[in-house]
Amino acid sequence: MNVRWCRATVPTSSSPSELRGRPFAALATSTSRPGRFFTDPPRSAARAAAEIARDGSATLSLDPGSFQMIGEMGVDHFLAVTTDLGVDIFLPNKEEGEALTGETDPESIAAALSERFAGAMIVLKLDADGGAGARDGLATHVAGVGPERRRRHGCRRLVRRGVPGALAGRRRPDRGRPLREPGVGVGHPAHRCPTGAGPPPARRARRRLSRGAGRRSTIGPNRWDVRGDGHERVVDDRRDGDLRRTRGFLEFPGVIPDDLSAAATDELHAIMSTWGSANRPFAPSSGDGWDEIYPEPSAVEKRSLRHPSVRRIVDSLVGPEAVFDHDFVHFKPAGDPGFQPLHADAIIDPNTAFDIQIFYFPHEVHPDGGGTGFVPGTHLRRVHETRWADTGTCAASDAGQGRPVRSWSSTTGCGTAVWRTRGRSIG
Amino acid sequence: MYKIRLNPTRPQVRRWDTSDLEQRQSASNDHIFATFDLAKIGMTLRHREDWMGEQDHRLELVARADLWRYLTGDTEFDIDWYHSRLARRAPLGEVAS
Repeated sequence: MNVRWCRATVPTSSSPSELRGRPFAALATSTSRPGRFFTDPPRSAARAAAEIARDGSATLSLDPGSFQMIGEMGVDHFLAVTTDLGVDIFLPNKEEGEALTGETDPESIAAALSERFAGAMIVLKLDADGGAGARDGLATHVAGVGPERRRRHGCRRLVRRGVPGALAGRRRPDRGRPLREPGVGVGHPAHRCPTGAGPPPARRARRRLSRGAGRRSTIGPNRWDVRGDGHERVVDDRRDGDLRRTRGFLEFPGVIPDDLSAAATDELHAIMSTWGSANRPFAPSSGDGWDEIYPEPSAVEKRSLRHPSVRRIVDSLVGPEAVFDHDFVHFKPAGDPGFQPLHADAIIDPNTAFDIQIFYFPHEVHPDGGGTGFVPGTHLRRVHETRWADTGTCAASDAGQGRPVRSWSSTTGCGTAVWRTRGRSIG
Repeated sequence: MYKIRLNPTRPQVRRWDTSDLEQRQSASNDHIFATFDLAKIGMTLRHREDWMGEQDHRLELVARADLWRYLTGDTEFDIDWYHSRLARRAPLGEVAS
């Protein structure tokens, strides 16, 4: 395999603009300082470097660097920002592979990863057990070597650095000599082995304690009997559920039947056309009981937002004794260039007890369709800034339209989201 | 899109199905730099958003621990000992002004 390869570490403070014109032939994230790919700006810089590498037809390798970071990011999030890079060689260790796939057998991990990173060579590093490689769903295991042979060749970190080279047959153009000849197994006498002290004690301890990698928590207020059949279900799919509970919102696509949403849409148009006037139908007052507002024959509340599924969700967060605060109808016609900037939906709020807001989308919403956006994870911030995006902390608008944090659409074309207030939103 | 805001009037403690709460609660010595368990709630609450730097993330951990204490009624819960170390030192001297 003839590749051009070099290693480029992206500094923590790097931004994409800093990389322009720099001679990256390829990109690899640093295993010793694994935070590069998990936060911005270094992530944007890393992605920009990957693009430069691709443009230069260089081989692109990616080492995820830390299963702890994958755990913090979430598997879906990690895959979302890495699988589109066009990675040629993916180099996880066993803990990272387990976290990303949920598999425990090395060949199963490698095979599963090769499906997620289509076209890439997967090299699963197994320390003293060698490594497992996979491509196009076909995996194989390469045995490791014992400590005596590693010592004889003066290499204590042989396996960790050796397996990728053994499978890729890569060359380091900066030194002009091969680390591995193609097809040569780990521990071949011809190898030039870097030396090192091995993983520190803390890392070994973490490995021993990491057997739960890949498992998903089911804890938290995301389990409801949404179908009313007496069986509680994790409403979110398991891959995303953990994240949503720490991000300040929960999403329930498709809980309201389409016919009820159609009736609610008609009523919402009537409410909006009479907003602020005495003719507004079903106008509630702040402090009214949640159960009392929008009485029959309102389609909005009685048939949609007090649908049994939604009622159970609301009760689990604020209880059946909750009271009405305020409501509003957001309607953006096609091509409307105006938008509301990011803002906190509260003043500075020192309370631990929290309100919720229900966002009801009675129709399908696409990412560029002008839906209301929300900056995940801002629900606990005790600050109040309008146009928070101007601080450079986050980007939030999309061509003059509020960018939803995700598509709210579902197979039935309507969805409901509930989040704790204080979060920054544009609506 | 229609939005509606609701205010609670009763404590929001353990209002959901908590049958697995004890099983998933992090141990008191759970710490990301020492011993930790990926399957426990502490790891879920350590999630990092794109916009968070290191310092913002740590402040969020403290705020999330406060919220989890409120939601579960467990006043001892902590993430990475940010609350615990303050509580341990508090009796030893006056708080600086």
